[in-house]
Amino acid sequence: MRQSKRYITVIFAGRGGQGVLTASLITAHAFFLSDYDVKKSDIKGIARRGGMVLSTVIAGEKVYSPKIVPETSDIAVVFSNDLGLNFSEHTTLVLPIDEEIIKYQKNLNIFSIGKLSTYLDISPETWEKAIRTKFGDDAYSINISAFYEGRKSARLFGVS
Amino acid sequence: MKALLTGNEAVAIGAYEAGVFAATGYPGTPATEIIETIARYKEVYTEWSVNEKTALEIASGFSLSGRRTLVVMKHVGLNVASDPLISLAYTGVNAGLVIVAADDPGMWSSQNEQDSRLYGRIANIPVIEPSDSEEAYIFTKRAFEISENFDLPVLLRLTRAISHTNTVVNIENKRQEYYRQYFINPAKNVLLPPFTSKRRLSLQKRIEEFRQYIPQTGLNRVEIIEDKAGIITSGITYQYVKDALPVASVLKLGIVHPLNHQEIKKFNSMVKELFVIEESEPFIEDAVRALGMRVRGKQDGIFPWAGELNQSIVREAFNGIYSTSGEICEESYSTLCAGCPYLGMFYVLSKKPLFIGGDIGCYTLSVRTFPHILDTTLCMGSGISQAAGYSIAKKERAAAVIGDSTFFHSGIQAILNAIYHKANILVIILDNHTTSMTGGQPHIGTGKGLREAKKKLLIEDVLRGCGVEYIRRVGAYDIKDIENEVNKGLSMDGVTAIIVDGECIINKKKGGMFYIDKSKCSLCGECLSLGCEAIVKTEDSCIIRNICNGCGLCIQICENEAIKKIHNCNLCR
Repeated sequence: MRQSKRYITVIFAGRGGQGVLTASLITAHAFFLSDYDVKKSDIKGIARRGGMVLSTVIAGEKVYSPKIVPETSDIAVVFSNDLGLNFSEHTTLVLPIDEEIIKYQKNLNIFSIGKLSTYLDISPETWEKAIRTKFGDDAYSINISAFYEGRKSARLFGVS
Repeated sequence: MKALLTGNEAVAIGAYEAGVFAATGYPGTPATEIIETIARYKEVYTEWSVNEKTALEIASGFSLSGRRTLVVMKHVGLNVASDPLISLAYTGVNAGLVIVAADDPGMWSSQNEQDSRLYGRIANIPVIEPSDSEEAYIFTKRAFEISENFDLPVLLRLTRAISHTNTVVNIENKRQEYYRQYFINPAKNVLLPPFTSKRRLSLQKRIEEFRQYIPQTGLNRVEIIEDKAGIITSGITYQYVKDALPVASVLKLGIVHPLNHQEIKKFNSMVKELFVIEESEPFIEDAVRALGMRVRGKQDGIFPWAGELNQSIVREAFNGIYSTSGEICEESYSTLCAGCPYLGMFYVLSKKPLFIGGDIGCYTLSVRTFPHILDTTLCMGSGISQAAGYSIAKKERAAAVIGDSTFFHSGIQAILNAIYHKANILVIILDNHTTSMTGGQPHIGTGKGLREAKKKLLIEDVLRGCGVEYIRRVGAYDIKDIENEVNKGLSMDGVTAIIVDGECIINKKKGGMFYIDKSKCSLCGECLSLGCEAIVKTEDSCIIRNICNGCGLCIQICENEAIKKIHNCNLCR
């Protein structure tokens, strides 16, 4: 949908309850704290019933439209395999493998943004601050370790 | 201070800093979070009102008493509030009164995609439209000043993509104090002749004065780049235009009603060809056409009317490729949850060949799993009256389902009418103790407010007061009980009522899990007819997925006794 590469676009997709909106808001905050102009937009429809949740983050020097379509996103962070979304060959896909889905049931979202973080020019300290905005002390320490495990696994295996 | 806020949060913070005394409203996507955000400020009186009409009327009382007030609703709620709205333009306000209507082009979570800006024309009040969260914050503050300076209620129109997008906002972090003395003034506030005629003429004068003042508000702005194409736009569409047509000149309207004629004419004289690009109706376009200007837009078939626009649609339309519609929600992403307290009642109703009037709430989602139960879904409170009409004309028994919050919102009037006019219906009130579809807001039947406990109103008491004689409350998870009560309720004449009592499963502690013993499953499919999201069919048996909430409904309908409780299992959670 975009004409030029004036933006970085990231799309988050998953099912209700997987923390899609938390992941996208943390990512948007990380861009925000790194002095990007950023817009984060949700398609959540009926507030909290089941089904697919999509959220998009666009960052750049000056961002206008908050919209991107899955086919044209730079990076897609996907929490389930069965969402039926189409991505182009230009989209970097951040997708958990089955073992990770089982291991990180409660914080797959934060684990996934750990992976995502290796593709973005944002310092780990900034990510920590962004994650801090969403969690209290106990939840923070659990999630921050999920984040770093995600970062490590991305380095070890590349993206799936 | 900079913050990354949704449009809804920005409106709430803007209103707080403008010194609002009160914020009222009724939950509705995409507007809901405005009240929830402002409720965090203890200084602000907040309430989920019983419906939007009441929300606006109580707000008018706050305004008369001298206090700034914000009223929040979704677009269809504005229809409910439209009666007081239009007459409030005649009386005017005392302290600022700002009404937020959040529209849902594309119908991501609504039954229609009406354009609330049109109410600006019906009521003759200013309509202000922000294009990101920063503007939502600033425009909200300005809206209160405009309301007071021109003695008019002001409509702040949002759309989904504004309400639910986080953008960067510069916040002042300073709350203003505001109070304006009230003086009795029947000539202004009592709409009876001869006052009405004077107020009608006064309204014309007030809105004309505002029209002349518009350039001084600074809420409209001209961006001249190239002179080949000039685009008048507003709201989120401005953002699409900037992405799609970076060299076009733009007149960006923050005030979309009324229009300042000189502003439009001046912009027209600066460009070779004039376009209006906007979502929903050709609202600005028609007003510009009425000024006698040559303009291109929806009326001559360049841009689509329906759905949400985006930068691709705008760019392609500009290059002569017409889209018949913008983005429209084509498939509901939502279904009833596994273990939803509505499933048992719908299972029972699925075996009854009845006309059943539906309503607006989670129960509407039953259509995805039970396509032939609900006959209708129209608007809040409508199902009872639709069933009543059907029963009277057909001379047969009909039924209606309605939620607890919707019952209080507008179901009560329908019941009074049905009783008095001798309709022959069973009213089923699905009481899940919350307003669940919009995310679980309290209502007057819950005993909760936004911040504090309240005295709970009982549905039974209200029904009895309306004149319903047969009222039964039944647990949501006992299918035999539900069936007996439905049969009894249907066997009688007149208006009978059943309240199905079961807390929304999202708010409830999970009650373990069930599994299906493959060796006993005959694949009869009866458990599937429950419509529970957790149960799916595989080649050799039905299975229960780990989203099971342990409600125990399926165990009651499996004739093979194949469904069993998992004991002491933590594997799947």
